[in-house]
Amino acid sequence: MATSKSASYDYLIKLLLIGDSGVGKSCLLLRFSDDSFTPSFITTIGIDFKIRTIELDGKRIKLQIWDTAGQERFRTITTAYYRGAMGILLTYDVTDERSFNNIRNWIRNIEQHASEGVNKILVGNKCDMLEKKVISKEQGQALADEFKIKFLETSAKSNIGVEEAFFTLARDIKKRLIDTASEKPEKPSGVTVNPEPANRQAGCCGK
Amino acid sequence: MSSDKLGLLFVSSCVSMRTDEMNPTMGFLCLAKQEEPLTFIFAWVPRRTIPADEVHMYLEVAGKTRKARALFSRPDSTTLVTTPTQTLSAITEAISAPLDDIQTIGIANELTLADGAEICLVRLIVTLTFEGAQLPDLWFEKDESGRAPSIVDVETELRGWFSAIGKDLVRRNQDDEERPSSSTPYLYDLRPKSNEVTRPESPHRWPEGWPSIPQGSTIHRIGTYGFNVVTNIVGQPMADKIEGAGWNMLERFSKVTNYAKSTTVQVLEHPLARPILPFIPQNIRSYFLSSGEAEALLEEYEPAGHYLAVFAAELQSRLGQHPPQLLDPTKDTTRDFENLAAGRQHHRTGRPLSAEQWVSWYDTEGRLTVSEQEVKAVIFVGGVEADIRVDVWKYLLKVYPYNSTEVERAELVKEKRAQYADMKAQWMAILTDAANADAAALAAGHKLEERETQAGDEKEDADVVTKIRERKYRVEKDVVRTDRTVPFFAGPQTETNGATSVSPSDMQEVIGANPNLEMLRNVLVTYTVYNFELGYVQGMNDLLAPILVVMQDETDSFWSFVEFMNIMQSNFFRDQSGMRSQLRRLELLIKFVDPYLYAHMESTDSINLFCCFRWLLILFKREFDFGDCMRLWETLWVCPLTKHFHLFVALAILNRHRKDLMGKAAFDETLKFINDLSNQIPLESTLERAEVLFQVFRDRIGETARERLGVDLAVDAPPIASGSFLRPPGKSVQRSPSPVSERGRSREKQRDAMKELECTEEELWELVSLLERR
Repeated sequence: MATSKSASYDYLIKLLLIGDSGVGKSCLLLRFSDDSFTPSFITTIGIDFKIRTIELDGKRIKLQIWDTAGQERFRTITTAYYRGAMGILLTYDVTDERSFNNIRNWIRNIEQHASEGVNKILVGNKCDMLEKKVISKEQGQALADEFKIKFLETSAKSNIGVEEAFFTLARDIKKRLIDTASEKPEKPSGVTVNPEPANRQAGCCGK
Repeated sequence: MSSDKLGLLFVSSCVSMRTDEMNPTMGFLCLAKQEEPLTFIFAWVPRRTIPADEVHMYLEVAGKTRKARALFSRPDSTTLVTTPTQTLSAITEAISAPLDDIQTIGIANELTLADGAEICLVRLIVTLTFEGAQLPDLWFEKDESGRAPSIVDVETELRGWFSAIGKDLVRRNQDDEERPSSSTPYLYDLRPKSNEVTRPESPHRWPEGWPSIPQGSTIHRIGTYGFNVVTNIVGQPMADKIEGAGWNMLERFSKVTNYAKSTTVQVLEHPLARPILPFIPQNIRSYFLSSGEAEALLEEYEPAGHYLAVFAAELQSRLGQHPPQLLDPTKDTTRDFENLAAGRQHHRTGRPLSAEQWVSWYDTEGRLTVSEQEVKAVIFVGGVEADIRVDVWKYLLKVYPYNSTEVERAELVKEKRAQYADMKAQWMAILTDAANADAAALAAGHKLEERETQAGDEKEDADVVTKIRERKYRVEKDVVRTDRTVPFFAGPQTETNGATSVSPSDMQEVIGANPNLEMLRNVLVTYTVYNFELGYVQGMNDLLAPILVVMQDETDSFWSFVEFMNIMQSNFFRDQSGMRSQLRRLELLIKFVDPYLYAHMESTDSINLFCCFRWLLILFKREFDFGDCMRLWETLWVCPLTKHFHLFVALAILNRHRKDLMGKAAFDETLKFINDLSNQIPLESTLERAEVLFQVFRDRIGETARERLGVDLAVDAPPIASGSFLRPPGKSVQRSPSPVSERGRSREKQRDAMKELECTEEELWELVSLLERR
């Protein structure tokens, strides 16, 4: 609820999870927001988001993380969320080569639909499945380097690297939007600062 | 009217009912008698309802009547005809009243249309002792010679008729001062000859405090009349309250009936009430129209809604001094269900179709002995019991023809089995060949060409082999996470599938370990070959899973799924046009039925209704558990009201939570709220609500279409319980004469505050399409 005073925070940051269907976007989100894991998960239809408030440098930052359907056919609805996102987690499955190869396509989508300068991080999920792994850490790193973005391997199941991935991205956004803004006189462009519940961005479809 | 035969005494052959000015219904005005007890009846019988072998009798008596003009005497012998009120089809049209029940007879000159030209005809107004209730107006049309009778002609004729049976036609308002305009009717009392009994004053009165309206105007007549009906039904105190409230008459009417249901039934079941049924608001009607007969009775009375709409609209514009109060829309309660639904009734009262009943419907050849519509009607009110779904669904989904015999179905199944096996073998062979070719290439040391794909979907211009391979891969990715908590798809709990997500290399193994997952995969992949253009889209797996659980057979599931997808496939179009139009329609529906909620959702950027995307894409599959989902789907498949009933289910869920939704300040809150409703929605009460909301919508769009689009949708409720359905509304729209001028304008003024929320004509047409039936 907008009126709820308990949800006090200094900044609201909106993140977006994208990547091929089945790479574990929803699982990563569930691990990060609820610290849990469901083995028999379901495909995401439409959109959803989860909230977690974290603390960075003494500031309470509310992360609103949007989860989308992986299939391109739903782009009408998913790309609407690109624009409002301040950070994007580009996710692939380390046991699925195609999902890794497709990262380039996803990046192209971001360039098309997301706001300029949006922070990105490359995430190789399911790193616990060593026997099935087909994409090495080096390959992931090389791809990340090529696009000059950060990279992490994660496992939603074993809770490896998940916190780090979200925190890293949040920190980068904070640095880009909030810290630099407070140095300069201009207002931060994309970050919503409390208390101004009435002026909150309405969702992040950016319309 | 117990006796079989009616004796025709006098007949006038060119008398019409003009519910549609352009197209009057021609009939005979009769004075007739009934023996034991001797009763004289004043009746009007439409020509088309008269049995063919009796038409000449009417004509014969009419001829005699004409000849006897001015010198009427009671005929020595009477011509006996079938009582027109005897057969169901006839009562619905013929009008009759025992003379004893007639209070006054009025005749007036009035301008109307005949053959496209304006003409002055004599109108006959019969008022009953039933507190001012009236028979529908009748008109003396031009006779065979092309001449329309004058007031004097009519008066003379009627006087002669009644005189012959010992009654005097006594004019009440002799003086011209009592007749403010030439169209004010001359009123006559029927009195026994030579007996000067004065009758009490007419109970007609225009409610006090209502703005005065010229007496004799349509609105005055119907208004007084409607008021009197209400008074009669609910008693004076309540009527006074209505009077006090004034505006928004229809809704008030419906509330009133809540207090007086039993009285209403009593009053309206009286045979005398029949002619007035059409003038009674739908809301009230629905209370007493439970029997099929009553429903059928009303079907024919299309003008009912029309008159009523005119009445209500006129009243509203007359009462413009009390415009609707547009307070804080978030506090508005007029769209709360209790207020929308007052006086309405749903039909979700049946029990699920049982195996016993279902089996009893088959004849010895295994052919259903009840019609498709009857089957559907039964299911719409109660669903199907789980154990016979496997059979029933095949009919509902049109896999089995309704009129097929067991032998024919066996033949069909055989054929379909072969066809499916063929298609499945085809793609399997293609994939095996491709895999062999790849292996050979690898063995020969070639590097495999990297298959380029689009982000998250197949490339549109890929070759067939690549597409099939890609589709199978996508299908398998989803199969391993489709309803795995449902026992049918859960097992076995191997190390690979039980503990974590599945890597591509494991998928085959997981699927191979559960034959039901294999079926899911095979049907989906075969479908993408069968409907090659469409391909595989996430959500199809959700639509298939319950079917598979019901059918427990791969081939049956496939063909059922094919039929289901015929309804659903536009949701999955690559350009998303299907989903866009669905969301658009839901948006319009909200705008039309609940503009307050619409305004709120618009102001919070929620009106794109992305929050309802999942509901519509997979027909609420994720919002209910398996059992409820099946119950919902079968109800949607058979719905006789509209083929868009799922949109009304969506509207019902939103309506149920409108207060909560009004409290959401932004899209994300709305989305979260709606996503969290999943598995919290009570199915039966939602279906009940959806049906009632459909009724609300149907009535309002009918009225609005008449007003704004100038069309008469001619939609009435199909009698669900009785199983006989009306003609589909289709496009058979007729222009109806615009009865009251300026109405639209003054109404518009009232609505200024909500003006921006009024639907455009284009939007209204789109809404009208929601009345389409399957």
